[in-house]
This record gives sequence, structure tokens and C-alpha cells, in this order.
Amino acid sequence: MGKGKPFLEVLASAIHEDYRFPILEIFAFLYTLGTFVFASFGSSIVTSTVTNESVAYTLTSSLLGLPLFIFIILIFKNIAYGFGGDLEKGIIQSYLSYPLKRWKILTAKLLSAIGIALILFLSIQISALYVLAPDVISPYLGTVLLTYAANFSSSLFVAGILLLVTLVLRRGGLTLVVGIVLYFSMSIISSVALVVAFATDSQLPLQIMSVIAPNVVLSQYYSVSVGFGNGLWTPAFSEVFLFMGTSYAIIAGLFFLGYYYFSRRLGL
Amino acid sequence: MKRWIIFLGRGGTILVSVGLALLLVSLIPSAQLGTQGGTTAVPPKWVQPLNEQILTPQQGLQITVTANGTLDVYVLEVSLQVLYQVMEDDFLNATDLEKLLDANPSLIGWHDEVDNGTIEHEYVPTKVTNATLVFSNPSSEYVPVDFEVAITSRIAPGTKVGNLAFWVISIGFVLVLPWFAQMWKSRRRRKSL
Repeated sequence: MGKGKPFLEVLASAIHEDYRFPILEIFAFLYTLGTFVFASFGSSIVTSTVTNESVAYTLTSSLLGLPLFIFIILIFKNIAYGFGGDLEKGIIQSYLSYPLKRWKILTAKLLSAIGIALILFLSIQISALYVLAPDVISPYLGTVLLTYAANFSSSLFVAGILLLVTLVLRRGGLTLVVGIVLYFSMSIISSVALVVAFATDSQLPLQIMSVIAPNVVLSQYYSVSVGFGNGLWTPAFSEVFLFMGTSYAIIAGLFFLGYYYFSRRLGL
Repeated sequence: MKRWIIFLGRGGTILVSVGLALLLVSLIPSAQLGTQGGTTAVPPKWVQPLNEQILTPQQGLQITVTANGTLDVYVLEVSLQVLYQVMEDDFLNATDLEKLLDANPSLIGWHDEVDNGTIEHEYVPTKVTNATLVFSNPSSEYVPVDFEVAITSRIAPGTKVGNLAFWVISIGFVLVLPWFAQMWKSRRRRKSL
């Protein structure tokens, strides 16, 4: 058996478990349909002064409502229900008999749970965007990817916490409930932060929220957030990168904790 | 069963499901947001701008033009104000317009020539843009024109998405076939045992 073979065996087994026919097909169908149905150019038709970069941002973020929620459901199912279920049933314990380090087993599980879902989501959405508005997307692919990176941050943050909770609880169903509650709590906190920022005329709540959800700072940068926060905070582009970097550093920290716990602390 | 057959097969089923979603999108009919129409006569060597809109790729102009003579019909991706500024004149001359468009071909969103007949076309932009319908009469006689312009709204360009759906479903089926064949064979083998 080659060095990479046991890893590929675990990865293939994880993919087989996570995406039984026709789960992937149903999600691909929903992503494609959702992308076109929710695509919107926003207020760009009213004001011709809006830059093409803002149009690219508005169009991309318009797609990230329900399709992103569907993506999160898939990730939650894979991490909480799939990985948690594997821990509960002792499937992970059987992987430990492979000549593989623990962190590689977790990597294979996460590649299947998050990586495949992410690749499917991004490839479908970016291709659909290109079909819909090639002259908006091609010149501003960087903006499109930046918008995705900003919007994925909060989902990956919740996924990181969910991984830790799954490892601690080792139960699929309960972890799934925790994940859903956490996700909706994040949405509520985000709305509350906007209201507080407006009420106190302070940008601090928005800045705090941007640490976990950098899509807030990005929307302020492009000044297209029609909500209360509009005009309250005009961040520079360097600030957008700073908040996004901080956010992804926190996510990396959460996943590092997950790896550490799985490799060193988890008694199986 | 060989893994690469399963891998290709699942890729194929994903493509088929994506194709079916695209097909569904292409079948959603467009809505008409407004119509403008009438009859006009374009003077010789003259340019007559008619309709100016800011359009997104989810909107289009359904254009129907009937002319008794030779007439160039353009959809220019520029506002009327900018067009007048560029031509540095309050009146638009057919020769000047031709020169302008030769120098800036990117301004032309769509162009066709009507010669004693009717043309129909749906113009859908690929970016957020100004779209100005312009009639240009290169001949030395008045050309009477009947026209109708309807602004349509749809979630995606129907023909483009429909064609894409056809290709995606076809490629998907090709990829799925070996997987289905293998499954059918193994099922027959199991039954015969």
C-alpha cells in the first residue's frame, strides 16, 4: 500500500458516506436554480453612477442568501450528522487501524465534508454568474472571490465551532441542533449590531461584528448596504483585508483546536 | 466496480441535475415591463435615436421594426446625452454616426439592416449598460418606419441557458452511461446467482 493510499481510502469512504446518491445531485440542482432565481443587480439600474465593481459585488452577494443557507445545511449534515454519527457508531475508531496519523483522518473527513461542498457550490455559482453577466464577472473576478471569502467566513466560523462541539459531544443529532441554533443566533446578533450601531451612532458594533462576519465591513466598503448602517462607517480597502484576515485567523484557530483535540485529547 | 467509473458516473449525474435546473430556468417566461411604439419617418442621411434605457443582463429589449426603405437599426451601449456629446452636435448625421461606430465598435450592442421589410430581435446586454435604440437612414430618401420596443424582464437569458442545458445534460448522460451499464451488469449477475 502506497503512502497516500490509506488517506485516499479514508477520503473515498468519507465521500461515499457524506454524499450518497442522490444527495449531491439534489444540492447541485438547488444551487443552480437558487443562483439564477436569487440573482439581482439591486439598485444599479436606478443609479447609472454605480461602478461596475459595486455591481459585481451586489450581484454576487444577492446570490448568497438561500443558496448559502443550503450550503450550510450540507456542511452541518456532514460534520454534525456524518462525522458525529461516525464517532457515535465507532467508524472513526475503525479508521484508526489504518497506518495513518489522526490528523490525516480528520483532514480526509473535513475535505469530504467541507471541501467537496465548497468546490461544488463555488463552481456552480461562478459558472452561473458567468452565464448571466460575463462582462460584469470577468473583469471583476477578484471582487467576486472577495465577496465569497467574506460571506463564507461566518459559515466556516460556525463549522469550526460545530466540529469542536461534535468532538466533545460525539453525538450527531444533538450537534446538528446546536449548529442550527448557533447559525440563527449569528444572524440575529448581526441584525442587533446594525440596530445598535444606528441607535448609538457608533461604528464599534459593526467593527465587532466584522471580526466574525467580514461581509459587514465589505458591504460598508461598497456602500450598498441599504440598512441602518449605511454611511455610518466608510472603511478603507486595507481595513476590509484586516477584518477578513482576523476572521480567517480565528477560523484557523478553531480548526487547529479541533485538530489538537482529535489528535491528542480525544479518547477513542 | 471500478472507482473511476463511479467517479465519472457521479460527475455525470451532477451534470444532469445541473442541466435540468438550467432547463427549468430557461423555461421561465419573461415578463413585459413596458412597451413603446409608433410610426416615424427618418429623414435622408439622418439618425433618429428613439429609446434610452439602463438595462441589466436580466432585462432585454424586444425590438420589432418595419421599414419601407433601407434603414440601419442599432442598439448602442451608450446614453443619448453621451452620444450627442461625442458627436459634438445637436443633430445626428448618418455619416458621422458611422465614423463614430467605426472608431468605437464596442458601443454597438446590436446592429441590423432593414430593407423594405420587418426585423424582430431581442437584445439582452451582458453587463449593466445604457441601451439606446437608434435608426440611421443612409439613403437619400425619407424612410417611413413602424416600430415597437418592449422592455422584458427574465431571471436569465433564455436561449443561452437553454442551449447550455442541452449540452450539460448531453455530456452528463455520456458520463453516466458506463456507470449505469456496470450497475445493470452487476444486478443481472446477482440475479443469475
